[in-house]
Amino acid sequence: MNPDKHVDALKQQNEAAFEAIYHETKHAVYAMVLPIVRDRSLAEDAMQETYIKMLKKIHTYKKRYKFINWLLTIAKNTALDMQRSRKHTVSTDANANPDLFIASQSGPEKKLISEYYLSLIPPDQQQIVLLRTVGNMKHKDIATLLEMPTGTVTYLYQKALKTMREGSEEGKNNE
Amino acid sequence: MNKDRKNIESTIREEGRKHTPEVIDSIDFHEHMAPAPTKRPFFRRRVPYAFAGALSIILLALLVILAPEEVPGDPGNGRQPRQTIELSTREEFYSVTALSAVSLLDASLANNHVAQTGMPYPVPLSQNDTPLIETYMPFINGYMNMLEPIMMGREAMAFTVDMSPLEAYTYRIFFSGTAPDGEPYSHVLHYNETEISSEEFVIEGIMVKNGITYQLEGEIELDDDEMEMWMKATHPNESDTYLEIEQEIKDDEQSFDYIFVKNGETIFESSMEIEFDDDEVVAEIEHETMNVEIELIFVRSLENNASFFIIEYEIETEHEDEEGLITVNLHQEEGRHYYLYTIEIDDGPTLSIMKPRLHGQ
Repeated sequence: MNPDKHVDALKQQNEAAFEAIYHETKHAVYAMVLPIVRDRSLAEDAMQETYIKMLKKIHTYKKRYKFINWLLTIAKNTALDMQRSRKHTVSTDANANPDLFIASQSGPEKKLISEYYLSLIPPDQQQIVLLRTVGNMKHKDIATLLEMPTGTVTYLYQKALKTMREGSEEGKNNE
Repeated sequence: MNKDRKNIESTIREEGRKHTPEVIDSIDFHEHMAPAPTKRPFFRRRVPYAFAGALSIILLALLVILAPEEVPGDPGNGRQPRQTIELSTREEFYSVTALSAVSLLDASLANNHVAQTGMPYPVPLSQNDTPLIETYMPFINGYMNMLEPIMMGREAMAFTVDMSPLEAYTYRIFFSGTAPDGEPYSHVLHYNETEISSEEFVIEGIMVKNGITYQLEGEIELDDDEMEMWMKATHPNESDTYLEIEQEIKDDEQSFDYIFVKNGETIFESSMEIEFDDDEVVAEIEHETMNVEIELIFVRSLENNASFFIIEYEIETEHEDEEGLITVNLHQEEGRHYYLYTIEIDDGPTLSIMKPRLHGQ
């Protein structure tokens, strides 16, 4: 993932550059907003608003920062604003099974395995796991975004994987 | 168990990416794309600066006129005391940087595959099923041994300064310490120093290491709590074989850039940044040589003592890429010290590799 190379072209109002940046970053943006708003349709709105803000603010971007981090900061703030304005409460119940990746109207038979795994861990770990796996972000960049030490991010990620693995084994034993 | 971990990560990645919504079609690019900022004409750009410049001169004049008669450290002759950096600080930087440059030059000539053979690194192709990390573990172990004392904050060097007995040079720094393998070392640096300003100095000299004399030249700029230094160590017999270091130290961050050139050809370029925080120390390294790019992030966490170090790595070659996470623990066996590396390759196997640790504690 290297959206930085398209930024100069985007600043020159090159639409192809925008498309390239979008396709290279959409998974990371989704991974950033989804655990905050905890609803797929809200995540779509947050993604759309993020890219619109990116287009409007692109001339404020400074090259000394990584572009993806700049974009994901916009995404994070957009999702937080959306969550506050819509007065949705983030569920801290680790046993809650939010329909993160698919709309809840799809029915129980459409539940994804990944959503089961994610339901086993708290929201802060969900954020790290999604940014690492879906967003393909490095631990160090996740640490910068979430304003926590790199060691803590790595520790929480390992802890999340362990929890999901144990939950997965327990689920198999109960079958 | 590791297969389960890979399955979980892969499942979340695949399903998450598959279900990422597409919103691009709902965004009107031309409606929202900000227009390019217009440049102000030259005169209108310059006037604010000229005005600010004039204002600064007026304020400076007022300060001089209105300044108290005594300032801290005023020698009493009415002149402002000169801001100088203590001599020992510069000498410490010269010593450390000179030792780094010469040692790296030595090590690169002796150990670097590309420098020795002129050929790119042998890159195992994916069909051999050999993870890239196995090939580059000696390289990573080298950095681990180098970084451990730095990131653990251990003092390694003592030095003394006097006049050089050599006619061509003014100063001599004699410095000694303990190498990573526990063996004591001592080297000598003879040099001339030219003051460019109160904050900038140029040096040229020689360093004698293990009986071999290396040519050195360097520049240093010191400003309050910041230091920038450039130094070049040249091979005694080949003037186009050298190693250059650019080093910057400020607050709790240090950065180093290295270029190794052999017979006029750049063999590798490497950069390292070390950041010291209250609860962790992070070193980020990027190394580029012919056909390989390697990125390493070493983390020494002070709040979580589960492992000695954690290393994130990414290796890019002409044919394949590989990344993963390494946890490093210490191991001792029959009186010898080792690093035990547990390597979890993304979408790949988990390996366990032991390498020598040169620090005897």
